Amino acid sequence: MAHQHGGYYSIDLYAFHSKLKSVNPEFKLISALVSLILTITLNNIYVSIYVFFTMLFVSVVLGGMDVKEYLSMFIAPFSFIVLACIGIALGLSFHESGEFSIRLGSIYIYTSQFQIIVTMKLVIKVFACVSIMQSLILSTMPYEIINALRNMHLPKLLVELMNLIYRFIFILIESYMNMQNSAISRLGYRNFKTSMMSFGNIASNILIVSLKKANAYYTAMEARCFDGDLNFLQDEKRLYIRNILSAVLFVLLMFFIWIVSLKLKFPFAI
Amino acid sequence: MDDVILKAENIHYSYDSDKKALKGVSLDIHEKERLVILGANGSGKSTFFLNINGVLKPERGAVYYKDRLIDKSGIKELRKNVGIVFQDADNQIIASSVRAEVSFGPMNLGLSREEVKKRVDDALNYMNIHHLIDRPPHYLSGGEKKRVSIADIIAMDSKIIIFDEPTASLDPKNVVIFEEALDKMSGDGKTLVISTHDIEFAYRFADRIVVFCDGNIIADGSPIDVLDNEKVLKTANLKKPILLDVFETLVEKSIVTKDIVPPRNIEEFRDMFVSQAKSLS
Repeated sequence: MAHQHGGYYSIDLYAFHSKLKSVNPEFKLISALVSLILTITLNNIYVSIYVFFTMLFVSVVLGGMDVKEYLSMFIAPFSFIVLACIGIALGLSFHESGEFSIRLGSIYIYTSQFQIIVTMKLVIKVFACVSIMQSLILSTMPYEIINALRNMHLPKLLVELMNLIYRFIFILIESYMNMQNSAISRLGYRNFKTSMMSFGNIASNILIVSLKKANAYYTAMEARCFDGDLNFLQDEKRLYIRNILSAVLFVLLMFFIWIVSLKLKFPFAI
Repeated sequence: MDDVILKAENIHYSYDSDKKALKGVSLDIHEKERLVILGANGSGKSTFFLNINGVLKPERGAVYYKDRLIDKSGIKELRKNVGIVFQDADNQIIASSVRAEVSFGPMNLGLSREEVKKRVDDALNYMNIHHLIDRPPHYLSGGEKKRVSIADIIAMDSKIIIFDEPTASLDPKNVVIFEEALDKMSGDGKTLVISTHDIEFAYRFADRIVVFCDGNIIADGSPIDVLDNEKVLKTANLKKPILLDVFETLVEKSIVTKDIVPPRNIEEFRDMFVSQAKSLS
């Protein structure tokens, strides 16, 4: 179960407890981006499967995360993937077409073997890509990723916005939870109508709260000599040769699997 | 002790045109003193703090830091030397890790990386929270957040530290930790300005008490003088500290002699009472 924090779940606690926390964040970010791009461009199910299992190994064995918890992380993206796949695998037509079809009134819902294979390949690829991003976020605190982006010369405006947004998520969730609890305690969710009313009131209140909080923050920042640049000290984490070597090995194996699967004409390789 | 470190002169401030928050406040803050500010909600304490830190600009009046008039160019110097620990730590903590948070002030002062690092470590050790350095602020308890917000200011090495209702949301254990930290800072030569509603705390801690009421200062003096003044207490809706009340009842009933200095804390009271009881018997 994810960390329960006053009623909401937070994924970043996994990163806080990960054994890979001490690895240099820039390295983690760059290797994740490289593997992501390669997984997409190579577009090969054997590479994708290899990436998926390597990421599972990274998060579970190296990162020290529970397998069940790791796999449960895929539930949220999975629902999106399923929805997207319906659109790709199935087609609508007024005439009977495709290899398999169901008739609904005057409309046919059809699909074909080719479409199903394309969809399956896509699902596997998407899972591989999601697992790369999961491994990154489950081993790196969001503020470290933001700082790594700053070191990679992403525009300062974006980086500072990311920093403040990340902090504000928690502040607003907390305000929301408090308001919701007080609404529940006054029977604000008694039935559908009152629920809608309470939700609407809370939502509009959150806007006011966020403006007020932003003001209070700005005052507090000014009181500490803020003059337009949001600068923080970050912990410097050393980059070890063995980190780079393992990343290079991982990428080389990706290419190796890709070439072998093409040369030996594995099924579905292309 | 007698050097005036910060001088506010006839400060006027209003947030909107029909209600004035400060109506000509003048106050001298002396170096290394423990100044407690009392006053009801909305009496202008927080507004005054923001004015002497340079966040708000007084409509009329002037602020002097060490005899130097603060104008536009001096504001950074003022903010550096006058630190505010805000009432709600959640409104102060902006960074996503304790290390980054405490470093925010020193980084703004333009110090070198090594110096910032050293200051962060020192400030966290000072507040005994160095083990929290990598923690995101949303996984801290209320007391820990308060200590982080104090470390924020300690890292800036401000000469004057202002606390805006610091004990308002702390449990008794954290209040004790907080008071120990205050004693330590006071011992290290910091000037402490604390606003509070806790009259017992004000009575035992302060060197000097100032009472705000409706945008004005209505009393300024030693704790005993201020809190013994019925008129001031009535105007500002304050209650006399229990210890002082008990002492005065004892004097009234001739159980203790009149010429004794009123005790400021429970230990002093105990000593006084025991010695008086002995001399009576």
